[in-house]
Amino acid sequence: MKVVRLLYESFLEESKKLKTDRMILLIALIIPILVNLMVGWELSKGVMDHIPLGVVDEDNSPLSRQLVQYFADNETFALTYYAQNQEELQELISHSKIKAGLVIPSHFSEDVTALRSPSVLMIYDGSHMSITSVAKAKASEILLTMRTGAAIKQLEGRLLMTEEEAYQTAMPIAFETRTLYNPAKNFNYFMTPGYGTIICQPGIGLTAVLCITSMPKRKKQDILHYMGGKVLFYGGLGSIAFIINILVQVFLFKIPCRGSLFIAFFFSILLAMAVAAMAVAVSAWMPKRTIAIAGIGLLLLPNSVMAGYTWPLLSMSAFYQKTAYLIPFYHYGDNIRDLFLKGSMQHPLSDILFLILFTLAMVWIAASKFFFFQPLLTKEDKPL
Amino acid sequence: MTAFLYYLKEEFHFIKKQAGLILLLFVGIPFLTVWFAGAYATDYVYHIPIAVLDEDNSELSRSIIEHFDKNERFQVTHHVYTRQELQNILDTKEAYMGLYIPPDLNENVLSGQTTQVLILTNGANVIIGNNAYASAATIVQTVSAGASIKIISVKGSLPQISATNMALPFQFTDRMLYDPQMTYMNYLIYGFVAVFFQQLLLSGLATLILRNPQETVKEHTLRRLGAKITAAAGCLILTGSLAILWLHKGMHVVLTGNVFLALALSILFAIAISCPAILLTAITKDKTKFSQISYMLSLPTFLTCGYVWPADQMPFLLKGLIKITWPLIYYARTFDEILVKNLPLKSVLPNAMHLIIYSAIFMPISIYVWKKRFGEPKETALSIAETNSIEGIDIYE
Repeated sequence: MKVVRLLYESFLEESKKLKTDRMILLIALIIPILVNLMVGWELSKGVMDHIPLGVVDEDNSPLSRQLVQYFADNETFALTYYAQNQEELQELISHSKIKAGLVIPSHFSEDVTALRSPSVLMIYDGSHMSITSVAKAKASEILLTMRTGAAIKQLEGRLLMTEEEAYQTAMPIAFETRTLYNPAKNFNYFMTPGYGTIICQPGIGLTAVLCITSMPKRKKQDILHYMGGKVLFYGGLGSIAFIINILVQVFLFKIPCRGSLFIAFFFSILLAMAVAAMAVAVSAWMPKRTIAIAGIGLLLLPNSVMAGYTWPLLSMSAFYQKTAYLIPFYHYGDNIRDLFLKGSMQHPLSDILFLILFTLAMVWIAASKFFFFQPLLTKEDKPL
Repeated sequence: MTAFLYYLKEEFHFIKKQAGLILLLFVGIPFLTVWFAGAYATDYVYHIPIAVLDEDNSELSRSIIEHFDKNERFQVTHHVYTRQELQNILDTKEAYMGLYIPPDLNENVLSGQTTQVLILTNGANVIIGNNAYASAATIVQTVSAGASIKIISVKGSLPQISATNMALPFQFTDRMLYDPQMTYMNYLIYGFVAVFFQQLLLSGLATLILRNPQETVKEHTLRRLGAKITAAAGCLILTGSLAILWLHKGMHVVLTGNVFLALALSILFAIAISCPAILLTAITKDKTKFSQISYMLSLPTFLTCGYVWPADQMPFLLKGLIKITWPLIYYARTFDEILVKNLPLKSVLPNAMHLIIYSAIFMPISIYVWKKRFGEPKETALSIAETNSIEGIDIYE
């Protein structure tokens, strides 16, 4: 009972701040929710389309025009420029007017008919990976389809094969692609489940990091409960932000969540507590506010990169892989994405255990400052 | 001019005495650049681990696998024996792509029947999935074409060359400009440097602006503010340039553009981003609150500046809203393209003009609000310092 009372007292101390310090609600709830609405709106299209494309058609034959038409009809591309030559096309790319270019050589149609196998050139702007990867995948698809069609016609015409026979000869090995978990290759599905949380995390950290300003006279063991109360308060606030964010994603932006929303909430609460505990520990050990803010900012803001959410961790060096393990978001990001996209998580128990142990360890680290260095401080005696 | 130089000297004198500011302005960008660049130092997109289930185990199927293994983009890391195993390896992300070769592939090809090879890509990471797909499709097509050539050659009694040209009526090649390897490092790192510049400038300016607000309001406001912006931006541009030099020389990040043009754009951006900095210091009057808000803005401003999701793919209204409120959208991507693509002045000018217009509109508004807030008789420098020093905390630390 005493434990509950101590936790409640500490919790109450923080909740009273809500009346005087509007920044807490602004930073922990309002900004993250608004930003999530904005990012969800930004990515609402999900799949990139109408990527500006330039064409050099040096052949200008029915076949070359057909090829150009294939690109023009595909919604991934927007045929924006007809250039006279490759140099002009490259200039358009260097001026960022187009992101991809198609070059059809002169005598293209003639060479196809004469079995001289001419070469079509695709030029891409390699500086913008997210656009180029979409453009390249779609262009490869269009060109392969067109080439198979041309081969079938050759076989029908020259070797007098039936359409089926020609198809089987031209495509002895067909390939089928299955994009697992995100068949539409929707950028929103890939980014938003984790990024929504990454946006909320600093809100918890930047408010909780200011919470330890003084230590009322207490028994040493009670300090742990005092810290626990703070973690519960800021973790609770963060949990509300996380849960609202998940609800916004699912119900407003229609991001499919194949798994249980309650599991998503449960994981989010664990993460919120872990982040709050980390911020409370920073607050205890870094009494200077701006330094504490910078510290928690450094710990939380690079999470999307350092925890391997967008850039796979296995591609990073051993040092980064090991340090990532200590980032709470590492134990959350892939799980929540799996829960959204696959409907289940791989081995979540170890991650749950980590988040709980991390929270407890951080509470202890926060309290240890007062166990070892500044025990029995009082508000009246000396501010921290 | 003399007054400006005097105030500039005063700002540097202040910076010199503040260890926190020295760290922020001189160490901040290089440290963050090294830290982030380290994460992208290994090039995963070029060695995507793939798992293979070969139920045919023929010469043809082995040649398909060999094609994948020899391709620089892939690395066959797992040979599995059941579909469930293949699925598990993809689920646990031990491999990023799966290749399934059905039984009787070789037999079917010889008997003239089309057989499907299945490529399973992980769509959870769209960017890597797309890259993997494009390369995998090309490989399977190459192998398929090889088989097709053999069949045509036999059926049509044609020489190899004619059979090849009949199977491949045209070829297609591609050329990837600026970054042929399409690495994450080249794609993102300059954008990160731009955001580091923004965040550190915001923090640095807040400290400098809030150190003597009453004096600044009283006289030579523009010159004093100009000196603060020049001091903070100057230090950061210098260290940012060194960080970029290191990225190019040490990490081989593409740098082909006009550095002076990038510098000029950075100066315009520094002036533009000072407007929200001044406005925010006026609203918060407190370094701690300012820091909280500015840190909260770092991720959203990066996510909406056209780097991760291109500006022309955003909803029109949102794009307009972002352009009106925050200037990073005019800077980050253009800054990157100047350095990587050597974007010419003509293409930079529209964004440069936007930065100038943004500053021309928001600077007077920010200074007006700032003067109004700090010119209030009740608010003295002392009381502001006191507000920031609750519980004995020094705001300038």
